[in-house]
Amino acid sequence: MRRGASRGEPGRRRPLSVPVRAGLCYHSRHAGRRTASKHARRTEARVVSPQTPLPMRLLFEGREVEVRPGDTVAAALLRAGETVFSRSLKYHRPRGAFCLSGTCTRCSMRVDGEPNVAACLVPARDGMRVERQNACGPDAHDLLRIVDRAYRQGLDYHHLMTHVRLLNRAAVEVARRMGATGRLADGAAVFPRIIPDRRAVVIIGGGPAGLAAAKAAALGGARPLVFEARAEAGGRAADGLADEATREAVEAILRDLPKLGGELVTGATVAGLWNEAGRRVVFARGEDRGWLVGADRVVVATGGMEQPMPFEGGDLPGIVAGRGLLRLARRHGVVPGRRAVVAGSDADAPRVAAGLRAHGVEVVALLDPDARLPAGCDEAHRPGWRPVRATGGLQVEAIDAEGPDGTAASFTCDLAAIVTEPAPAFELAAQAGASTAYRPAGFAVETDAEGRTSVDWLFAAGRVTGDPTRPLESGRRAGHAAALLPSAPPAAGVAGSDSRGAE
Amino acid sequence: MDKTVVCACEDVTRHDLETAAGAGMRDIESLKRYTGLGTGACQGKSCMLEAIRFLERTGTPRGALVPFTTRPPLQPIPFSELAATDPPEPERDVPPESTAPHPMRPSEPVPARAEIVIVGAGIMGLGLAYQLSKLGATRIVVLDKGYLLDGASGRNGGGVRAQFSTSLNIELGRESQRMCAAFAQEMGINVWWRPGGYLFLVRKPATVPQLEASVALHRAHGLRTRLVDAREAERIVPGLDATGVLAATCNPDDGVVFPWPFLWGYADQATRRGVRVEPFTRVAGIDVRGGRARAVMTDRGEIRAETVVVAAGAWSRDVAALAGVKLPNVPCRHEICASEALKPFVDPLVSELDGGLYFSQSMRGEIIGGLGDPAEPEGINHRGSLRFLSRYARALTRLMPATGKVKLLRQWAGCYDYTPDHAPILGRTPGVENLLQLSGFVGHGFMMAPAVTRRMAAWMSGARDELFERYTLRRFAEGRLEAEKMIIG
Repeated sequence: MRRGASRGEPGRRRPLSVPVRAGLCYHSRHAGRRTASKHARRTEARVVSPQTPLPMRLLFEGREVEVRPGDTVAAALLRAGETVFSRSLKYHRPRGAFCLSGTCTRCSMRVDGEPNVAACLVPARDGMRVERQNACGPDAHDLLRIVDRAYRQGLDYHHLMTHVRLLNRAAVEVARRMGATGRLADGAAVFPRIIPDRRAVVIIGGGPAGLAAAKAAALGGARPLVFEARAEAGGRAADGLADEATREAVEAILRDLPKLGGELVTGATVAGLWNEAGRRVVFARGEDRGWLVGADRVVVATGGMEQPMPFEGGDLPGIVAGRGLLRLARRHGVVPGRRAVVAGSDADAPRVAAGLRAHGVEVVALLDPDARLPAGCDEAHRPGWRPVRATGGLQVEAIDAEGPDGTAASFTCDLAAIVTEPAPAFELAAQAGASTAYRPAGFAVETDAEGRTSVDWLFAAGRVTGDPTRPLESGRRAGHAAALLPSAPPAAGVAGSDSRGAE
Repeated sequence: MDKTVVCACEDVTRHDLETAAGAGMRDIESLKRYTGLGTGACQGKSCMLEAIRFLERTGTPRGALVPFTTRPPLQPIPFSELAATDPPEPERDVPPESTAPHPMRPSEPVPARAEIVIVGAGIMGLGLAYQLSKLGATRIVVLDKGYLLDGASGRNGGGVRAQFSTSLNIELGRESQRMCAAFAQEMGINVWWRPGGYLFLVRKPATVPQLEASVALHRAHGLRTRLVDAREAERIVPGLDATGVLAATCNPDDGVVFPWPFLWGYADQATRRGVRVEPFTRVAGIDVRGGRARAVMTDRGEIRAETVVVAAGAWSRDVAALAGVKLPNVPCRHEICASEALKPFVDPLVSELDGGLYFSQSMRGEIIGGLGDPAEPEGINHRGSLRFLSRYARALTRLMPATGKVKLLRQWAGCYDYTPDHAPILGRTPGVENLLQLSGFVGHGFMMAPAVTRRMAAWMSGARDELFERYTLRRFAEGRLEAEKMIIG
């Protein structure tokens, strides 16, 4: 984690869409500067800098959009006031970014001729071509939006036009052409470099739990390799959502890990964890390379996944995961709205509300559907209120909510921050065969006190175990236990990999 | 009307969940398949939990509130990256399957008596039940240990071809194609039959005469199969690199379907006619006395039966063994995967006959394909391997380089039900005359099922049919072996 990225809030109101000009510390809110003049673009809530053009531009649907150092495609588009990233599969509803962390795929776009690219992850570059997917017709309007209105009951494709054979054959052809959002990529594939490696301990996730596990494993002499999907390690500590002690511990580990023999790779997503023919293989992907690591033991510290809150219209652009919004503001200086409703009963909800205010957003309501947040946690706190409907055309314009006694209210807004409890990211552990338990937040990987799962070589720590309260402690225990477990008899490296990869 | 979106990838609404539950989809795997929820790009990371909460609210047993089976990879991977990965060694052995009762097992007992008990509610069992019910038989119980699409019927690539090397398979394939084309009207559910053709390619000189002989046989049966060269193959599938391809055949009347609705359609129509379809019910024994199967024992009680049919696909050997009958069938994993969905760019199903590769583009736009593995050990195994992905990606990107940029979305596996001569085992069982066999379809059972089950129902109702005399278990003792050569993988 970069120093300074987790200091206190700046405490001043900012108009909107904070323009950040200093490329050197783009990750920091402190780099932002209020613009003197601004003009609205596309929606009233949008403001872009009219200043001298900066050198970098991407082309979005043929229009130039400013790119600042460190931007993702989503950050650049949101700064420019673009909210509709694509159209949904069946109903051609407008779709924008939601999780801003690479899990929900709602922000999938065609980037430089490649389909289904997550705009929230891919770095924006000068001259990049960015296009909406599945759009039919001019710009943000879409002719096939009519499908949603024509099929008021929903489109039941199982029973669509089954009666008449000729109509049915026509339906097959039409459905086939409408049946995907992306088109085949342009150009030939580049076959990338896959780096073979072999490790005693691989740790998946570089948040507080994963880093604590890395330190413990390194102290145990295991020389662990840590994969972190984001460009910046630290997880919640990097997002400014962790307490002071955790932040300091994370910074210390990031400083000390190389000296202890641990290695951290950021910007590398672990896409799979296979256990076959007696070997464990971790497959990680970075921007221009991949890793295929034979691992004796694996610690899964994958944290949580943002979850949407299903209510009518809840898929409209402008309804965004609250933690993702904070990250967008911190790292990219972008706040895509000026009047927000915050919804969710997670303890982060008041933090998100405060963070948005600190960036100049007016928070008109903090809806706490489960009435779990402490009274007085926020000036806009409404315990027991839940969102029932979002209205708007191309993006959210109002959230209709219902109080505990059935009272209804409508909140005009151009942004809704959803702050539900993240669901444990259990998939990799499940792929490896670990058992899970159903909890209110989702499926948690079952572990003992030392982070051991039901699979002897697999350990888990942090939120993925269902307990987000003590990431450092749970990481330390899991990392220690993983380092202590004796390695399997040395195999000939990952099968087929070159001898350099084998120990 | 609650059009609240639950799964944003596939536009699945809360109303869709309610409709699916109304159609009997009360477990997460069935709910996923019926609605499409979780089959999109995010693979359920944003919707599965809401679906589980829906099931919890609507009374699904707590033990069944489990995540749907994880389908690697966690994030889509371009085939070029998988092709650049060296394949791990093959598995040496296969761990045994769990035999625990299914958490969805209903609490009420199975019917005490039935005219016909069919073991296996895949397309064979359900197709047979439906066809029998149309002929007036109603006291039929179909049993399955899992959900309806748990076996190979829910795991195959959906190809339906008539290009085979034996007259039997050619005729059955062609009859199935006709039935697929009429299925939506007959059963009231779409199966998305799309005759985009099958393109077979061969690379080994030894396979060329075999392919040529097949074409002659196809012509004799009235098929429109053509022998084409590598250049024409490249014209049929733009983007194909047929370098090294020695010969190819194309039958434009072959095609692909979406397999899942076949089972829902058959189950629904059979149930309407009085058939009892009982998933999540494990068969524990078959009571054989005096050369007859008397009853089927399940983990929900015993059913006395006049006829018992073994239609359990890759599990048929195990089920027959419960009656003391030894089948020569061998189950063996076949892996398969689906890419991200893309607008149509491949029309036919393409297969390298002597390399084991096949792929086609589904209705949804995914490239769905597989590759046989000569090193695959025997046994029932549904896990996906990196070895398969790497080998498949190499074969796929060599044959069609443009797929290098296509991303793998998910992998899974099913099991072929191999017989020594690659022909099915049908009809009566020597020594247990009322135990009927309907197994051994070696990876093309799904496409044969519509035709085979119709003929079997007629035969069981008294019609003469040479099929059920010729393809019996007896042929192995008598040395009358068949030899289907056009097996993929």
